[in-house]
Amino acid sequence: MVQWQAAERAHINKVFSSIKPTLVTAKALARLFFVYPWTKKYFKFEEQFNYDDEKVKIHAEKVVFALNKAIGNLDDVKSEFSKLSRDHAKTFKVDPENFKLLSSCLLIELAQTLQKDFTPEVHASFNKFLNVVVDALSKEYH
Amino acid sequence: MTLRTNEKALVKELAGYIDTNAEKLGADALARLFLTKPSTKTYFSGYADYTAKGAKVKMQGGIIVKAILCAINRLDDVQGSLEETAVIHGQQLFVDPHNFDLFAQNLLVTLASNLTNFTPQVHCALDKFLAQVVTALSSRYR
Repeated sequence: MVQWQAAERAHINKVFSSIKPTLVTAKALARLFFVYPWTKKYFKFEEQFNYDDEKVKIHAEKVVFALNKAIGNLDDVKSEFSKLSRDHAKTFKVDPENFKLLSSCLLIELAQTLQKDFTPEVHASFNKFLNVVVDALSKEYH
Repeated sequence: MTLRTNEKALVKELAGYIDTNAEKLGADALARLFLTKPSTKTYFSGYADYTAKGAKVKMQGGIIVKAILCAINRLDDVQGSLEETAVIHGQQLFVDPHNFDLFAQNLLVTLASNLTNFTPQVHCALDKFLAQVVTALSSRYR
């Protein structure tokens, strides 16, 4: 089981409450699609891959919903994500390497949004959180 | 990964800012690296302070960023500009080369938290450039 320090939990919650999660996640997705164009293959967005395009916003809402579930159960993200992991593995067939790429784009979008408030300590806590999420999402791949 | 003409221009545009803030940016990126991946401290042993305020972190951060600046000023020959550094890392320091990409990712977060215009276009250009830096640094191990 992942061990969380009180400061890490506080950082993770503070980050999400300091931003507009859907907007930031939509921007992170748009960043992912631009910087790592092969990720577009998993989405039938008809070439509308900007952060303010409807399908990107809808997907951002789904990602935020999942991240909120994870934040709400930091001690057992694996169980929270078991169905989501199976869906990504068996239905969507996403190469799990891509989860790390979205993670990286989320961190950069958070840094862009929060600027100086995205201190090394806050960054490290959220990075640990995203590593746990990526690990949970990858668990049902066999 | 070859940079397009406009991508070279985007990277070069940042040269002045990076030069003026070399120590601050380098120290911030190293501090993020040490917090997100504590095992990297093994290559920088004996520091009294591993935060961005640490004297040795500032000095080492400045050295790293100045070397990256040399590569920015010789974008058509990144390998050549980093040859000496590559030999030192590959034949004396023996830094595991997978750490170079980790540092690059943290430098991107540092830049994103300090610049207000870290667009996907700027991010992509820098990501490609830093990939060239990582390749160059990894080239003299065997």
